[in-house]
Amino acid sequence: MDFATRQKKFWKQVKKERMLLVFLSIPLAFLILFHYVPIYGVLIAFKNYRYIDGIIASPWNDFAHFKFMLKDRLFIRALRNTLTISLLRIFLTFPLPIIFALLLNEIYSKPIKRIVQTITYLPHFMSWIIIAALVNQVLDPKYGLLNAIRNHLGMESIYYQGRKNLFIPILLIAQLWQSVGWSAIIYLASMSSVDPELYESAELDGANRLSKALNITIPSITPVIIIQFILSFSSILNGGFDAVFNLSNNLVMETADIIDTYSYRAGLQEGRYSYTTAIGLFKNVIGAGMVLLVNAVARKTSDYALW
Amino acid sequence: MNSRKKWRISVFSVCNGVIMALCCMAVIIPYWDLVMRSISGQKGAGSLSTMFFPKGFTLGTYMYLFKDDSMIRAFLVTISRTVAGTMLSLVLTMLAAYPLSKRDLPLRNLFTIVFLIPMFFSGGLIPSYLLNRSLGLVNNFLVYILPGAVGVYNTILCRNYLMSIDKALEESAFIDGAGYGMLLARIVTPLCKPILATLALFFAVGQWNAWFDSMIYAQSENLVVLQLKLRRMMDLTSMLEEDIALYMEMNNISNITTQSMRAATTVVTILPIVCVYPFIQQYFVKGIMVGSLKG
Repeated sequence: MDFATRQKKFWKQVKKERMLLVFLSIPLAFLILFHYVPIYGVLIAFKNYRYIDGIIASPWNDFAHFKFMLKDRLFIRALRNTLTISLLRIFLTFPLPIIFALLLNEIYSKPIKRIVQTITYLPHFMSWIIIAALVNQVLDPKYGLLNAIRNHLGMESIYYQGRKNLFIPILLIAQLWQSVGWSAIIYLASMSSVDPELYESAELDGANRLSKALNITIPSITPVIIIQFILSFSSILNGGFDAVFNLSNNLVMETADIIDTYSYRAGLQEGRYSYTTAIGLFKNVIGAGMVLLVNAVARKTSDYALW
Repeated sequence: MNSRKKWRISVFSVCNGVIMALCCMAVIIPYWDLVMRSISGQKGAGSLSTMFFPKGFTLGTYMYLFKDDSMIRAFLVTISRTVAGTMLSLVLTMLAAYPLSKRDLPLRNLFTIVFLIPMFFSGGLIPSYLLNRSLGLVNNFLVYILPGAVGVYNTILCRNYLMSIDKALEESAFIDGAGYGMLLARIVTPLCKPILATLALFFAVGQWNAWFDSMIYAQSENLVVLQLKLRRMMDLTSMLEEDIALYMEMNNISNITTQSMRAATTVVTILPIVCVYPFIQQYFVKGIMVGSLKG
């Protein structure tokens, strides 16, 4: 088929399906305005942006923001904290929903299983403002539950949230509390699709629960585990803005300030628009790069990968 | 041998049951404690002896909470954004997902890629802020609804669902001369009820819990959402104490504390979610399955 006939066929198709294009154009307009225009706006990361000049007319600055980033002690601190938080999350917290799902899977009573699921999913639907309110309430130095127990045992109260070295443990526990039930869903789903005949024949061979879990359940959910593991690296530079912003205070900034909270302060409160955009771009590129890298490693070392 | 094996299994079951019970308690206790505090009128409330029962029972804190319009207004703003945002997102998602699910759509692959890219790359905080500012969305209710109206991930989810449903009904209507508009409104949308219910719940919970946009864009008190109100209450202790003291003096009561006040606000903020949650929970789970199986 030559170019002219192909073009003719294309326009015929456009005319025939014009209603579909009309439908699509409405959400597409939203998408372009609110998702693509900001991507274009990333240009200011390479410029000295001034509001009166606009994006185009602002002068280029020879990567000055990126060079400054490497010398900015507050940025380095935020980068260090972000990496600490997300690496701990990937290697410490990541297995817990899997263990939770395995244990829940061993409960044979349907109603009990349902009740446990209903209760443990609940925190997932709460904003971090609410969760922070609950954390404050449990850890409060005067009225908090933990300190009430301490006092009862004759110990002095501790101001948990004022201690620098306690911030990250508190954050990780709160994040775990919020997400453990919900994160288990995906593993439970893939467990429920395991062929029951496998278990039956294993039982005939005299396998107990532990060996069934080790030899049937875990291998059959391994692909999901690997994919979740790869995906968790895409957020390696996300410490979790909502959680950190609501749980931190000025006393713990040294360990609590992450890239996102720093960007918020530098960008929206101090008005350093270009610099903050450069930080955002850095974060975005590293996140995408990490997924590619981990995916490549997963593909080399196992049979499973995202693509 | 056989009895010993049984005994070991039951030990495991008991341990497992205990672990599950502990997990549930870890979730429930903070909420229970919260409710007890919100109805306790005495200063020491929250200490161990009063954990399971209120100390100096009162509903005065809730009365104080709704004494002026500001709380009710925050409630109304939050409800408005939840309803309007959910509706708009549903309509736009459907309008995008339906054409993208059709093989006949010209340039279908290109459009699909255009919808996929924002999943991996975004402009970030400042470019979005500058855009919204130049669009006049600062201090404007529409900022709660418009920028997030088209969700990329949800569109793809809905498209995948549409591609998986049975086409027979749609095709026969098409042969009878129905146009795409008619098909979408009369035939496809009713078939999509399960996914639309799931998406509606995702959107609604997202809207109810949103606060960052309110913090950045709402300059007037009239636009502040409930969540942000709660956050401010956590910050401004001294102002809150003065206000409470004044209120108690005027009404001749003495049983409201900062603690009970914060707890009551938190309860009011989560109450709507907790009330509908048991009924909607199954839809969420279904939704996440649709996403994970075809994602």
